[in-house]
Amino acid sequence: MLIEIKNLQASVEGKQILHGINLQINEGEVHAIMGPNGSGKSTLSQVLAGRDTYEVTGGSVNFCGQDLLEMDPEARACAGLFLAFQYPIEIPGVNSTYFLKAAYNEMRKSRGLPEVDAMDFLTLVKEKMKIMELDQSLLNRSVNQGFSGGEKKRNEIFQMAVLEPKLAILDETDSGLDIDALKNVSDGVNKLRNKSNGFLLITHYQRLLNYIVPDFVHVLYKGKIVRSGTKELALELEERGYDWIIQEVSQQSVTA
Amino acid sequence: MMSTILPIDSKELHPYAESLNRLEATDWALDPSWLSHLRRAGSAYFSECGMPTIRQEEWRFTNLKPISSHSFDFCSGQLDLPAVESELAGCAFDKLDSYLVVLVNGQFCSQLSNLEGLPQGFVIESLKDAIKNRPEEVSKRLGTQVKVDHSSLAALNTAFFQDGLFIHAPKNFALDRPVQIVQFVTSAGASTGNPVGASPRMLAIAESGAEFALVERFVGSKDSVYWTNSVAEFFLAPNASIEHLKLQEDSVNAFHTAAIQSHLGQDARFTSHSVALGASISRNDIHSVLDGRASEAVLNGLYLGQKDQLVDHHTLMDHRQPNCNSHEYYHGILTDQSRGVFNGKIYVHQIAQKTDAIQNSRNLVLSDSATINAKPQLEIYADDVRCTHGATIGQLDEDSVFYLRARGINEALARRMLIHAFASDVVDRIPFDPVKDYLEEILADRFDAKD
Repeated sequence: MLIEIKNLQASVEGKQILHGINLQINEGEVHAIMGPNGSGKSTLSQVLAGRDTYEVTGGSVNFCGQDLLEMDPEARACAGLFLAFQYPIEIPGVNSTYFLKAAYNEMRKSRGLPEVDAMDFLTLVKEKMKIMELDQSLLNRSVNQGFSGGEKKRNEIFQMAVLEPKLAILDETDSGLDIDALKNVSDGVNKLRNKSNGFLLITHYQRLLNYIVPDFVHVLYKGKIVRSGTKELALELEERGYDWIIQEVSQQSVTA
Repeated sequence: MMSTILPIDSKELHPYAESLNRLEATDWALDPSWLSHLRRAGSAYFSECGMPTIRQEEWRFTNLKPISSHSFDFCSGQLDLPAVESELAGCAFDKLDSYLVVLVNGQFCSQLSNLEGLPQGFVIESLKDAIKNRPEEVSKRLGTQVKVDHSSLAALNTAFFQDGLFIHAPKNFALDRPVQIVQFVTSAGASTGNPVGASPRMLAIAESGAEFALVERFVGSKDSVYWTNSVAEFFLAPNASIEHLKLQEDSVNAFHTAAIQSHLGQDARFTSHSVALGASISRNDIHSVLDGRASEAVLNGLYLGQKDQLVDHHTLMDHRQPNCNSHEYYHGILTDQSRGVFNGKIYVHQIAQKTDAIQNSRNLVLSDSATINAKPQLEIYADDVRCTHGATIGQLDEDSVFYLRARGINEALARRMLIHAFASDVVDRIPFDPVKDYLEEILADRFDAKD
């Protein structure tokens, strides 16, 4: 088991967003969380990554045997959790290669491995760049600075390829991508999928799931998972929208 | 300029009255008449206005009272060169392939300078000599950009300067290496034992199509009290280009005030980098007069304040002709109880259509007791212009900190990377590698050691 989320509740600025999430992801599984806007999808990803603007008000998260909620963001990353940001941040003045090498070595240090030098790191980077078909010149620039929307998203997946996390959370990685970039990002993810890692895809639309086929699909609504199923559920959502689920949920809460 | 000068109490004699009277009777009598006339005007202006005070708009945030509590000796006389020489070690960038000029207490020291290989026709000499050797060239320009009524400090410099630097680049002449200028101030005046007041003066002229670069470093005897009150005037004829880097690393107890003004002809280009690291109080007035069509001025600045330092930059981009560009990037980082002041003025005259002016001032305030007063000031009288300005004051961007941490980088390192990056944005614009490397080292020392 990679991660076990139990009754997770979180608020931002006093407003409760997550009302008790339960989710378990095992090695080799790809889960997708879908839901209408404002359902708490991005809050879930930020809370798992350790953003302190969100307050965890209840529940627990076990990540590879550790209490995730007790860990700093950097410790979570070093333990193998990766968040591909919905809006990757531009950081002028911080060179991309320098940044990624620092991240890579921090992770190695935390695992008791020796740091890699610049030459070895460059070899690794070149190999991983092929996966994402990224232009190497991007690495000479500042982190995400002047990157197009598609380049930013591909850069997130490229970072993931270098850091090789156990669990990767992709927060609306498909948003703002044209079909070619979407295929490219999906290809990258599919190449990185294996028996020992897991993925949590957070998305509003089904189309990403045509390219990255999930094992499980969950629907998040008002801060709770209201329905879980297999990839067919995503197709049904694509066809019928979210309204029918919302109606079903509200009827259930009335009868209850 | 625009500031109102409030006269000091007429009964209160300023601390330099006696020296000025003495000079008037002695040294100035030896000066050519145009110069003694100029000096008298400076003396009169200073006597009338006194030191700037916080009641003046241009000095609201910078109180010079600590300067007035000392009596500086602006006529420090003969230098004890052997004693100075040891202190000068390490003040020049050895790795910078350059011509070297050393000024001590504002006086040109030819023994310590190295102008070997300077091409024929290119003049770098002591201002004192230039006044003697080429009176016409000097007299028609000296004091015409930074006039005595520019400020009472400029007036004081005009009255007191004993020497300085004269640079003349002939037509279409591009100097092969930068000129490195070390401005050193000693701990105490030889004659009186009072702290030294230095009035370095620079006059630099680039004839049409000429090009040169200056790397000027202000340093002084470690920890000592002194006051450098400098004036530099740059004249750029059409198509000329001057790049001026000023690195102010004065003693932590010193005071530094300076006026730097450039006058640009058509298609001329002036680039200034002002890096302020030292002194207890420092103030730079950097003005560019875009007085020829399609000329361009670039002002870059980086200031790091720590402990109780006060670092003040006042800049003016004076657009007097059409189609001129001015770009300005100032970054400040303030820690401890330090204070920063940035006032950036863009003045666009009615005739100056198609002006393109960008001003960007960003400040990082890293402690609760540090302060910054940043003010963009736009006066625009033309209607077809593009003027943009942005001033930010704040802490590190927490979204950026989180992004780095989410990749496994610990918080302390993440913050250091971002502070460093903030400063590097300006350092990267500096084209002199040894200076750039040196500044990178200083940044690493300042910000990387604090975990």
